[in-house]
Amino acid sequence: MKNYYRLVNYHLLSIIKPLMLIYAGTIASILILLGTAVQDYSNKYSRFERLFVSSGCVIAFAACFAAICCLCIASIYAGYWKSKSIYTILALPVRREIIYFSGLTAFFICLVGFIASSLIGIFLGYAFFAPTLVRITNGLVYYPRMQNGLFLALIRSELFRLLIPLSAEGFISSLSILTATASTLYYSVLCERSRKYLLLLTGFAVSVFTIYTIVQRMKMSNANMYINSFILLACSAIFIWHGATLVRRSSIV
Amino acid sequence: MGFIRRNIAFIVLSISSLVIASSFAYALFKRDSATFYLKDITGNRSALRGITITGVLQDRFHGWYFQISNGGVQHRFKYYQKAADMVEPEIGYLNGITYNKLVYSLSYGFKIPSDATIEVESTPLDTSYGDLYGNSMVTRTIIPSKIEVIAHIDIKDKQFRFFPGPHTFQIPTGVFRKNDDALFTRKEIVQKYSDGNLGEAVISRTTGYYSAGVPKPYYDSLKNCMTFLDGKLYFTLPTTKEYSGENGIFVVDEFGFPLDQDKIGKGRKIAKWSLNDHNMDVLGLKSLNHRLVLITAINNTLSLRLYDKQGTILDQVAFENITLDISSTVGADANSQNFEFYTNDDILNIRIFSPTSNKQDIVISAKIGDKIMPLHTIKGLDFGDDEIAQYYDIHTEGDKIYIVANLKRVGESPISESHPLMPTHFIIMVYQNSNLMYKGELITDADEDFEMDRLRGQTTSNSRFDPFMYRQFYGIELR
Repeated sequence: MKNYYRLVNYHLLSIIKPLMLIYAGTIASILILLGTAVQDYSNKYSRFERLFVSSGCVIAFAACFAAICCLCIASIYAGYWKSKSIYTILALPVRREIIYFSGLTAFFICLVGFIASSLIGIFLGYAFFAPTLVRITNGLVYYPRMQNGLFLALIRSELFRLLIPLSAEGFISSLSILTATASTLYYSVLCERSRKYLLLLTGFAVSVFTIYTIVQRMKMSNANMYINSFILLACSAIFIWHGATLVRRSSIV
Repeated sequence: MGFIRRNIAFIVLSISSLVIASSFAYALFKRDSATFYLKDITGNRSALRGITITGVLQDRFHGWYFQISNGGVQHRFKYYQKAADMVEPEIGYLNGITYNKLVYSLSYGFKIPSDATIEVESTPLDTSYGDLYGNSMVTRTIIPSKIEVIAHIDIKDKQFRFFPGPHTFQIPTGVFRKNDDALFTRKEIVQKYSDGNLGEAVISRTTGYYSAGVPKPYYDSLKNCMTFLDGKLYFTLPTTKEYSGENGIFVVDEFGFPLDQDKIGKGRKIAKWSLNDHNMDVLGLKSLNHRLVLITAINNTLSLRLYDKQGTILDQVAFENITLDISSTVGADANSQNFEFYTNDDILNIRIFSPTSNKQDIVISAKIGDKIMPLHTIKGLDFGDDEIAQYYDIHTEGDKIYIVANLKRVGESPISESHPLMPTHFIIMVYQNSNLMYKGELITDADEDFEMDRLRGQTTSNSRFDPFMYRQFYGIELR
């Protein structure tokens, strides 16, 4: 366990600076885009969830998410370049499965941290740039916010509903999407390193199914999301098992 | 610094988990922070004792289920994970009623009686671009002096696709109308061959069905004239005094497939009455307590007739103090008098109204048993001059009538009162012995959804307006 914990720290430390930059970029991009958007009169009286979309924050979110994924993938490949640290790691007197799980855990933590930084951006964005109503009382003009406006935005926005689902079905679905994303990306890299190119197709198929599930969630489809979640979690379990096997057999070097 | 480096994973994960958990906690804490309270306008809310009003204030993403009982308001939040979680809005189909998830729509066809004279107007069609043989085409408009109404009923699903099984019923009704205004016409396109021996051929013929603009004693759809009783569809024709012949209550025994004939499917006229005295307007038919109630106006006085399902008349009651203003052009005049039914248990509540002013609304209630027992009559409701009401429900309980309505106030917003973004108010009124005992409003913050768009100067047209993006009331029930 101690070795596992040290390795997770090692993986995270190796990317901590760019990781923190991406987190800061996520928060800053949301705030800057929202701040710019509210200058436009057409956005002045727009619901927060609409403002979030029209300001380009969703695109920024997607870009930062892609950056996190690229960073994690690059950190794995970095072990093969320059320092060749992958050989050092594989030579450590620990079980190979621990090496695999420590890398996967670090990837998972990166994604969890990204979700947290997005939420910080959303909450700060609402605090600074939430649209207001206009009320005139006794000749005085007030600019109150919508009653419970942030909560309404959280349950109405397609993206926010993915990040903070308020039903058991939605929560399990979001968790399975997160797990599938981490395990599929990590597994795909391991397949490429072990030259099992055909297996990359399975990673691609699960990625497509993950995107399909996200679209279904956004459209509030009547499909049973427990089934989708089960499929994603089952695929993740298979990828984790086979990924650990690839590392144990040293196929990745 | 060394501590941080040694525990960076724990630190990142802890802070992230804390942020995510706090966000969930915020959302869960805030879900009950909706504005929901009853504001008294007139009278004491103790008038609401003994009645429960339920419903949901919802948009596509969530609903607040509320209950008003004993003057108190309770509400609970429901998160909508999927579209099917929404309370399905009750759709008011034009000329149709829903039963077992199917829509039954009534329309008028016509046949030309043998004693009618026919006027034919022919207009040549320009066929010079296509006909190589020099044949000519004409459009013929056939205008009969008199028609017999054919009742036509279609079954469709809620997406308005034809039901795959037998889905059409059609029957000549024995109801006649003079066609001096040429409302009922038939158009034919006829090809006349240049070779005189071949004569002519009818290329197409309209067998159109009429629903809008048909002369009837009110301006609205024909849905008030259809009702289900013990799984069978009963209907009557809404007729004004200008019709003649013999109207009645019809029952549909079997639907058929559409064919080019006057009678399709199986059905009967179980009750009949003559229209030849030209003093009767037939307003509608409603089943209640295993009986059929025919709503009519005889010499402009509102009258109810009670029938059993075999068509035997059981009772008739005239409301002498309710005189209806039914002109001959009502079927085409949107501002003419209209009416709608509401039922609770064995009580029929009828609202008679003019779309131009709700102050003159009339509400009557009657208990339907072996006999018709009139209960209450309210002539003129306590709305302001600037108030336009759409009723959710009317409920009679003991000596009180409860009315729940959606109210718009003209001038409250610069936009037109017909605009979907216009502010609305959820109003509850209680009448006892025709006097207003209580008027109150359920205050919520739902209008802020509309207010945002009003402030933006949103010019959403009715056709582009998505009602499910705004919190609105659905499924209002009184019990």
